[in-house]
Amino acid sequence: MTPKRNSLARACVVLAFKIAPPVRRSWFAAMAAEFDHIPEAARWRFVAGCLFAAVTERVISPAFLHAVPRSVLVGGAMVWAALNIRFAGRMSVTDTFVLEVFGYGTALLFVVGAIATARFGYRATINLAAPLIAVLTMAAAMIWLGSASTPMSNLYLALIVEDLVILIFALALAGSAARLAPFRQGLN
Amino acid sequence: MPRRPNISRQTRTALLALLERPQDWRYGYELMELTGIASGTLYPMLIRLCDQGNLETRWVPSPHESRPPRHAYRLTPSGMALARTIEPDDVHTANHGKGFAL
Repeated sequence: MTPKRNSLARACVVLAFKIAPPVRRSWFAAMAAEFDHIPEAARWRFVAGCLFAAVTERVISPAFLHAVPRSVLVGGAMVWAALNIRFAGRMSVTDTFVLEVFGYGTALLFVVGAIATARFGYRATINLAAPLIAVLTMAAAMIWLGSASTPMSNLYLALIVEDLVILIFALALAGSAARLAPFRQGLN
Repeated sequence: MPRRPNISRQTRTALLALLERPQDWRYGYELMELTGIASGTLYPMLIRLCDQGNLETRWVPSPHESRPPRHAYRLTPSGMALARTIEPDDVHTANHGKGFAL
């Protein structure tokens, strides 16, 4: 193995050490130490194994598993807010003021939800989504039962049902993740 | 009939390799050579065995001055008990290192 290839292989071992979750670092230090005792012909295969093990350990680490649903919630809320802003922008050119306000209002609520989830975790999602689901369900029921079926009322109903579906998904995800979090922390 | 522990064939291979000389400290590369298990599989397996209390570890100074200390592994009494529950017939082939796990 040329010195350049050797130093590249060593850099990959260091990379594996950095990828590995902090609680497992000592094991990757052990792998890095073992690198110097391995015949040069077998080093690349060993290094590939180090990287594979580091990525695997990172992916199954409680911190990573905890971060995934939180990122989905925050990212999903921001995307939904952006779509609502786009919708409200389109409504502004048609003079449908109520729909415009509905779009911007929904976007604002989802941005607040995303920030609260990022800052305070799943409890914030649950505490914000649950009352909002109740209010939207009542609004949907009022429109469904209390008004004649017109294109406009159907559009309001569709918008509310869309938001309800998103909120129920977020609530289910946050609830499941919040219940699993203590169990995961116990794994390490 | 007593229930056999639910452990993978590769783990059984590694446990049997460690049981051959249970008092000796073994190195990662030595175990790779002995069992044919690739590093990407062997080290996570050693981590699990250590977490379960079946393996003990220590750093051993290298006889070569320019080389760093090595991490060495040995079965604990519970690891030995676990390894003794494995029948050698369970492990037909030693070379498990050709799979996806590098």
